Amino acid sequence: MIRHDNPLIVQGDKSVLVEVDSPRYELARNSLIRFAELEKSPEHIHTYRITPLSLWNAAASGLTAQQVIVDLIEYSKYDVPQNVQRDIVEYTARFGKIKLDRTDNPEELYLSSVDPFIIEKIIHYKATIPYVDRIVDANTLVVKAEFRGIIKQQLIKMGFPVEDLAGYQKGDPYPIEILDETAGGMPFSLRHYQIEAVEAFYQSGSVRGGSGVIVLPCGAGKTIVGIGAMEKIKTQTLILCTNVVAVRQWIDEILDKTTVKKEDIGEYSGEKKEIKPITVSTYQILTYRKDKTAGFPHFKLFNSLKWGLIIYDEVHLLPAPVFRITASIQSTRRLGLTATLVREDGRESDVFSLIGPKKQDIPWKDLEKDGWIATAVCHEIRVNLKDHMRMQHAISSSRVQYRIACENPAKIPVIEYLLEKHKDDNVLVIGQFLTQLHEIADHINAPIITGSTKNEERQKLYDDFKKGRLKILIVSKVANFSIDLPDANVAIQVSGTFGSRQEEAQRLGRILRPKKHGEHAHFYSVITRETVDQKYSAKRQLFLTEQGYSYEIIDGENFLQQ
Amino acid sequence: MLNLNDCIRKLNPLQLKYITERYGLVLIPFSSHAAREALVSALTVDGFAGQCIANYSLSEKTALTVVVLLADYAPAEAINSIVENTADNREQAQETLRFILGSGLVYLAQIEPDNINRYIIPDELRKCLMSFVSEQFLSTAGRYEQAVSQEFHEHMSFELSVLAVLMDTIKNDVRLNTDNTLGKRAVNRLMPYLGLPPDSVDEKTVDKYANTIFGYLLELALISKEHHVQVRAVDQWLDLSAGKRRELFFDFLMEGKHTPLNFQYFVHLLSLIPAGNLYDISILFSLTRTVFGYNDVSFDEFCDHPFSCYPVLLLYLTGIITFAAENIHRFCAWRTTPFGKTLMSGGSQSEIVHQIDNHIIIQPNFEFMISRNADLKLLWQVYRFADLVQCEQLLRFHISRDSIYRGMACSVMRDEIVAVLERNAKGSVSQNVIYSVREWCEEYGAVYFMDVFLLRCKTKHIADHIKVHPRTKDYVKGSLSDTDLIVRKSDLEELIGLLKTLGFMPIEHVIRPEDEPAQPPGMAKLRRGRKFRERSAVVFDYNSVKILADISDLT
Repeated sequence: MIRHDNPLIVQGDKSVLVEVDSPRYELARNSLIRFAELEKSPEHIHTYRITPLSLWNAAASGLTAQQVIVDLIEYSKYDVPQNVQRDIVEYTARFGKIKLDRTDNPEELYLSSVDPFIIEKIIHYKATIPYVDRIVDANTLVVKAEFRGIIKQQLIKMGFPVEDLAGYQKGDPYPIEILDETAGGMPFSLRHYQIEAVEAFYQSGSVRGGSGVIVLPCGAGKTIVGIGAMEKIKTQTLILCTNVVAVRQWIDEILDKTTVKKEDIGEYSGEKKEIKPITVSTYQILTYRKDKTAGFPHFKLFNSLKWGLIIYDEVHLLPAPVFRITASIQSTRRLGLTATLVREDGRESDVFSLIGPKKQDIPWKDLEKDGWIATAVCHEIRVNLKDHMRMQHAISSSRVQYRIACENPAKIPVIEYLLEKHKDDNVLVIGQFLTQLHEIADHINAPIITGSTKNEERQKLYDDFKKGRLKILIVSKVANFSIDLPDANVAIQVSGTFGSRQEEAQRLGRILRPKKHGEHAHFYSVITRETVDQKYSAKRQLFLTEQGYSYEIIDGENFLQQ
Repeated sequence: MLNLNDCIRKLNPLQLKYITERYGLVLIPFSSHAAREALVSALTVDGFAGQCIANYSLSEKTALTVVVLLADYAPAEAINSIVENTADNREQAQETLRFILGSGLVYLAQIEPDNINRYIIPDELRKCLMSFVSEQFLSTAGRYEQAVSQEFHEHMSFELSVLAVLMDTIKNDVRLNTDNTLGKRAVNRLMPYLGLPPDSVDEKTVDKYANTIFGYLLELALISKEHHVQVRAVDQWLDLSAGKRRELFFDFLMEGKHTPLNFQYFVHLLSLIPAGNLYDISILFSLTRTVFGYNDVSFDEFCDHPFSCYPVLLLYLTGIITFAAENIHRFCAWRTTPFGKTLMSGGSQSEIVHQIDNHIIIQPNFEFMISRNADLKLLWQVYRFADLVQCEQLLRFHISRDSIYRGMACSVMRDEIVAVLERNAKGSVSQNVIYSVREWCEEYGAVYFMDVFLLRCKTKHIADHIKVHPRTKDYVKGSLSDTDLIVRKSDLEELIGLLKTLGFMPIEHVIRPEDEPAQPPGMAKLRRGRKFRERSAVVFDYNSVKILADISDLT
């Protein structure tokens, strides 16, 4: 029997398609997000997936298999395949079979199961043997507390999620409250989805909460979610970011919106080494070492104070050494923040095991519809390669081909035209190759920020841009992340890091903060036709098209003639 | 058809004695005539036969059911082999059959004109025996009507799986084993599209089914594999009604080349069972076991994975039977569908009517969604230029430069692709998709091969002569250089004759580029020098005109 009003289509591979135009879409989505992961959300049909992890997360929040199945049947257009129902029951039943509890000794944890066969399996499983300290009885083992993260990782690989009831260390307390009015005198409160995100992470302080990842689009206020979590836990907090500019933005936001005093917040970077109750640092300084064989001297930051919360900003960029140390600090609450949980190295599962499961993921278009992020219009402008360059392009290696295509001088007239068209707007010109960016800077006479630009100068240029003294800013990939330029409403991308989806999304994110007068944001990607630039561009657009954005393809030559 | 009297008359005295002794009708001194009369009177007493059967053991009842159901349709030898499947060993099966024959309810006779041994059910006992068979089946009928909470549906229609095989064939990625069956890799590629219920079918069964579909496509000549696998005449098949397509496939299965032995008898057994009623799965289990063996499959395994019994899978995928489950772990009941009943009884097919939904949802990420209830012709059109990613309630396609290339290589025109998308699109079509499709289509054919010969002349003077001479000029279709002329392959013989007539001395065979007269040693070093030109004049002095194998060889 087909129930036409229902939006869900449950497929045998456990993917769930959701028709966005259905009258019951909202209800179905709210139900679905409790036990399925959003995979992609293009314009008409969104795809969710029911995975063991998503079911274990659901089970951890108290949802039963029966409730999951009833909800699927309730909103499903067709019958729910039997194998899917069977798997839901089977996987959900696995949750809670293995538990991790405290012992009297803080350096040890109990790993127990009601099923002695599972314990037997752990004792004999090659990957878990090294972490088992001793056997207590047929149902209980003792493991070292320092292996808490690793053993959870290995047991998930075995197909058994661990219900981690060992809790978290409290960390030294630090009182922090969110202000009703910012230091700048503006009324302030958390938005509804930010409150939901904080609660999804905190779980009323239970051991089931306290570690996880929040996925929100750029401009939707991830920093505020972090501040919300800090207010809930009220403890000394370490915040890790991608660069110094982001560090300072975090500090500014915390000072602007909370009761934290200036003397209690510190910057731990290449320039300053302050360790305060609230410390903000960069991945770069943490992973600094003299040579490849040396240790990481700044890892001591993790133990320098008794942190009760560590916030990982842009968690999708977490470097491998930080992953490793995170495995050993599982007793500290961990919050990951990102807009794109897409790692080009495919290590998303490590983020899950070591930082925590995804706690919230809202389709970008949903926030756009509600006005929390700006409506963005994406364009791809294709220009030709001059004949003499075509020949050079044809005979070059693929890397050189990409460079030739990206640095195509024919892009410059298009950029000039766009700047003229958006002369009253705040425009970012973003690119990968410095020679190209400098050439553009010379042509349009605009300042440029690259990796070699000093932090003071960078900060000054960002401030000028924010205050409207500068209308055009040329930036290299240093501005891909964590740069808060609220009034930027046009981005012109002239080149990128090959087919990086997350870079494209992050760059769009630079212009997504809601505008004062509700105007649209424009994202232009200028590419060279019939070259690798076009091929990579198609790949880069994948993440955004799966978030519901569509690109208008424009012929560059026609565009200029018009 | 024989009556009881005829049957008993055909018994030899020993058999007669055996039966009458069994019922305590032995007459001393034994007289065949008296024994026959006594036996007829005993067996025609109301309820007597029923009482006899009631005392049969389970295996004897099962064997009797098979014999009664198939007596009119199958030779005794085939029925015996089916009964053997129900027993632990052959001896035991023969003992059971002897016991049944010894009861005088069914008889074995050689029937003319082909003198085949057949089981005979006497007219007088037919009613009683058929009601016994019905009771066997109907004892649990309706038990599940209230209990069933979930009915299984096909995940994909049979037609789609056929199309999937065709589609994969188009990609020229079908590797065949030496026995012309599909290779393991091809089967794995096809598996997601074959509409097999997930987790219920083992690898061997998937392989069998994929090869059955493949065999069917070959039989219908929808594909050929003379040189490599090619798709042919698909439109003819698509023009058939859905019912007709299923009927054809069913006939193919009944022929038995790609289906298990005894499948025909199995279908006949099912056709005798009333459609629509739900029956306990144990009946299907014992029927399957009876007809096909499967002695190594336990009842529990069957309830969990009935589709691993290949005939059951075929019946399910052809829509003849459907399943029901009491809870999500186990299948508990089954029934034959009215459609299946018609198909099995060979009656005219009522059309399978489903709601046609030809909408295509086109997403900006180049994904298309189409209902599985779409018109097959539309699906086929889309298959040709898009990649099928997922095949369930909604079919998910992905369009890319490569898939468009494949489509255009199969003669799909750009306008056809755009028209299909625009005509059936539900909601707006993303501009980037249409733009890209048009662009990819335009890119097709930017480079192509021509099937021509190159006429290489020793000097420009000779080439010019051939180009302008009234008798040869029409043969020249173009030139690559001052000395290289392009001519048609088909004009070769004629042109050689003409050139000879005109006084040239053409080499009569076609020269491949690698077979051009060898350069003298050290020639490479002198390639750009004067000496090279002088010597080359010597090398090429032998003939003034030669024809190279193919223009493509030069590129």
